[in-house]
Amino acid sequence: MKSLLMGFQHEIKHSLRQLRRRFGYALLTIAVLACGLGATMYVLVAINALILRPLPFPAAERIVSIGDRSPENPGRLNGLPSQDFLDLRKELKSYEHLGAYYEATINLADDTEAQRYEGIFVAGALFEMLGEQALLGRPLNEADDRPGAVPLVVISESVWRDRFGADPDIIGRSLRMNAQPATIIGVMPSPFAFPRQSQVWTTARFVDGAHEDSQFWGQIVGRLKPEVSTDAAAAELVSVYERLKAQRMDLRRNLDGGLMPMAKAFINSNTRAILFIMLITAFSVLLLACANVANLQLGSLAARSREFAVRAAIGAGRGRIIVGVLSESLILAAVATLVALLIADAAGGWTGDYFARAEDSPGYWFTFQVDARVTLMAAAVALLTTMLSGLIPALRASGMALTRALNDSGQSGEGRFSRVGKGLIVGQIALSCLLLIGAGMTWRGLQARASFDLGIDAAPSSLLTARAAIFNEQFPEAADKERFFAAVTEKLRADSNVVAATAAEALPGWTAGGDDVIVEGQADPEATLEVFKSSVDDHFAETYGIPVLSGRFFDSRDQQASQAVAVVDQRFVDHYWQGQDPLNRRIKLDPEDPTSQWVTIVGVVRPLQLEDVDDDPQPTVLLPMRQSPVRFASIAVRTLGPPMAFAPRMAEIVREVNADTPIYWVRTLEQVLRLDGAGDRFLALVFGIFGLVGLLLSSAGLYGVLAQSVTRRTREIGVRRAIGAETGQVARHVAAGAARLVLIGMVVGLGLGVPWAKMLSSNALRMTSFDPLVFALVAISILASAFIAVLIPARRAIRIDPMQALRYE
Amino acid sequence: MSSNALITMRDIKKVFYTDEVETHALSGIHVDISQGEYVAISGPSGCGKSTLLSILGLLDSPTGGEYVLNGTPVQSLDANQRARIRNREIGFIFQAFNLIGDLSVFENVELPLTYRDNMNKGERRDRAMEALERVGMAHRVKHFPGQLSGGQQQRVAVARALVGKPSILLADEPTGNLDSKNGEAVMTLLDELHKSGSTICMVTHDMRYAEFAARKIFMFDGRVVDEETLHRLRTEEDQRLRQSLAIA
Repeated sequence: MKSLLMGFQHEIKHSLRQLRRRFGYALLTIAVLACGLGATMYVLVAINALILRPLPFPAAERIVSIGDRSPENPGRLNGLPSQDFLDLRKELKSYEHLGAYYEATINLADDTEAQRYEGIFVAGALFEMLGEQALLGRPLNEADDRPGAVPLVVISESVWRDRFGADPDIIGRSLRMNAQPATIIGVMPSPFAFPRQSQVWTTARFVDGAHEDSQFWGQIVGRLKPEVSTDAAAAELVSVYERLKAQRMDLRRNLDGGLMPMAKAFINSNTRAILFIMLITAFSVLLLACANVANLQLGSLAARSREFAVRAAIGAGRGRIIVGVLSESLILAAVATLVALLIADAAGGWTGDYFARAEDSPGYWFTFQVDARVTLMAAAVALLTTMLSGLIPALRASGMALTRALNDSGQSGEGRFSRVGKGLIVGQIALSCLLLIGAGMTWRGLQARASFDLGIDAAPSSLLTARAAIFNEQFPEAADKERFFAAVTEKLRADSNVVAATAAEALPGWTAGGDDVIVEGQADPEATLEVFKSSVDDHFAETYGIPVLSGRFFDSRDQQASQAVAVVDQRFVDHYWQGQDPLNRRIKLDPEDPTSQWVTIVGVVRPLQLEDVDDDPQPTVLLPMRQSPVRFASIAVRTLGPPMAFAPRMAEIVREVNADTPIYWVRTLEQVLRLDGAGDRFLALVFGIFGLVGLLLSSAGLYGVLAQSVTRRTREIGVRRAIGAETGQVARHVAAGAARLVLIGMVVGLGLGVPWAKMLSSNALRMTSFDPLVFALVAISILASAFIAVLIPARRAIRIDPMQALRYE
Repeated sequence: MSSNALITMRDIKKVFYTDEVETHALSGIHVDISQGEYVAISGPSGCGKSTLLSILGLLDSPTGGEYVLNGTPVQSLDANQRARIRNREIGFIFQAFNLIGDLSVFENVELPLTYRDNMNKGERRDRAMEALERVGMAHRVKHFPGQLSGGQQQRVAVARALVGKPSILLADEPTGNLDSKNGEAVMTLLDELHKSGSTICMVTHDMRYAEFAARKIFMFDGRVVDEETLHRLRTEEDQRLRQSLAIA
């Protein structure tokens, strides 16, 4: 054992000396490995942050989410109505604490200012379960949450500092929360923002026995008692639901109550699939780097064959030579791992910032940092890398024929690609094909998103949009609500900088309502169609640039008391009345509601996409705001100057109409659409970087192997020149070997790319499963990079002076 | 210039420049070689015989002078033109054989023909086999150089030199890497080739093998000298060397 350790120590020393002598080679190898390891570490940082690291709450392993198991999306829990929470709280016995919450924007107003924040309505013992202490005052508790009680408010440290100037006497301060008197009772310390980026928490005050329509849908979470297993809690939930179904007529018969660890509920199966794909991709980059390094080492070992033969001749066993070569790989992999950890930490930080900027954080506690677990995984990956990159060369070195190596005069053919070397090059090309296919497909997905036709002519960059919400307490009547938005848009239009202004429930490409619809006289009176719908004012079409294809848009004829009307888009017409005149036909939204009425179609507009572009296009129904007033609306203006410059004036105008109504989500439509696609853009960027790194690595690998080959074949090339090979023939000869390998690698890579693309499209990303353009571009990129990689060694080969070459040893 | 001269060299000079040193490897060489001649170039190490052979074989260009090969001035051709002439007019036999280890015996011999346009595979095969028959290596076509003895490798190298039916065979110390038995065999082979009409120009420092040639060219210090002068110059140099050693 001692001699083994001493031997290993000696080999490490020897390897360090060797690497110092071949500093350029060591640097190149470390850089190549750091690329592959960096990609892998980065994904490991993400997996650690999102899946492996426990939640930062006491007894986090016992915290579970309760919801409706989604049949369409297994592994995901849908929210439940507030009545379910109230009932479950009474019935379930397995929990220490049970709480519920739903996310909403919350308006805080006082005599000087009104502002809307990202907020949470909290029911039950949510804060007790989270165990987080307040910076000032106290968090909400279960006793605070009583129907009819004065709403209590907890604010974040950032709101306390930015809005209230870090007032030490903030506790007990009265203000208006969504137009109701409320009291601040606590300030939560940074970075607490449960669940994602909340700034304000307030009591939900769910009313037991509330009508179905006035219930809130939210998430239920609880901490199990220590002695209760997850299975037992799940069984209890099922039996309680069975009882509730018998008691409550409003409960859906197909409701399937279930629970899962809260950590899993936050990172759903879709995100897990994406992480898995990212891991495969990163591992491909690592494999590519290892293949590259293995090939570089093979080249370097060929030059050192005499050294190994001498060592073997003086008694070094095969094992010792293997240890010698592996120790060199270990040193290189260790240094590369350190570099990779730095890369991964920086990239992790960037990822956190990216999602924070995109307002799309999966949970406030997720931090993408290198920690002890990642470091441990890095050590394991480094060992794996050592084996992957060093084992083949080590076995090769240990198996070199002694006498041949000692007597080798350069004619043994070591200068050509060995079978292993060939395999490694083919593997590298195939892997870079796969990486590029991933990058290409995400890029095409983004392109499809960017070119998605919302149905509006106005440039998204020219539209300033903002959300505004009014309260029933201040605007109790339908007409009051409509008048508020009409007053706002009228004032906006009166401004000399405004070309057009509108208020609508929907913001095209971002959000809209949804409803079922039937048409009068349809064959099957039960058959409904799901549509996007929105209440809009008379200026919606003009502001967004939506052409009216037939009939008319809403105008002053459409008053609250006049005939109920609607405008539909061409997609709706095509669904029901292809080629027929839809005007004056009647439809009914939400046909199950006995109070809903028939509305008459007065106009048809171009097909619209009111919802997120990720949602499948659906027919659209527009209703006049006067007949269908709303509390929440998106205001949009087209301005003469830069749209964002008008934002302060827009806020001022809204405040002038009602001082308690701030605008929020103030963005150009272009920014809105960009925020919406942030996740896809992130993936495209990651895949793009991985693809580019893969391409660079495979080209560098091909170049390295060819360059080494040309160097070692100097004499052979000299002989060829001496017996009459012209420059073109030499260049072709050098390129031909590489071309064959590149073509084989491409065929393998593109062939494997078909199922890979299918997996990408079906698991995570919204894209077509086979895109010939992507495959063609990948082939072109590989050929182009291979051409460049071959060019320099080929040029070197044709410059070889036969006279010099024949003297070359 | 004789009327049937295959090679005519007039006042060939070769100067090597390294940093501040100017080395005159060849100083005004005049050489004629006729069709069917067997010429040996001899001289002590460093006398310029290998440089002369490189220029003869168009592997190198002279610094000055005129070189006519088969009626064509070749001293100022570009690299590709020289390669084409080497391929068609010249067959090389190297001291270190210089076979390509990854190619079989047949492929090594066929190689020069692959650089010719308009020669089909069948013709290449016939020519390669014919050359291998001539050197007695047709039974080893599938072997690789590493599997052959030195003498066999050199025979394959001769076959490769012959396969293109060149105007002249240039042999640079063809026995240098062989034992005496194999060396004799190779020399016998060259002799047979000469007798069957090949023009051969061989560089050797071994006078025993130079005797195989019908004509000997002696070189000393970059110049062609006659045999008597060579002896005198070598004796004088030996004496100078002995004196300087004695003084030291």
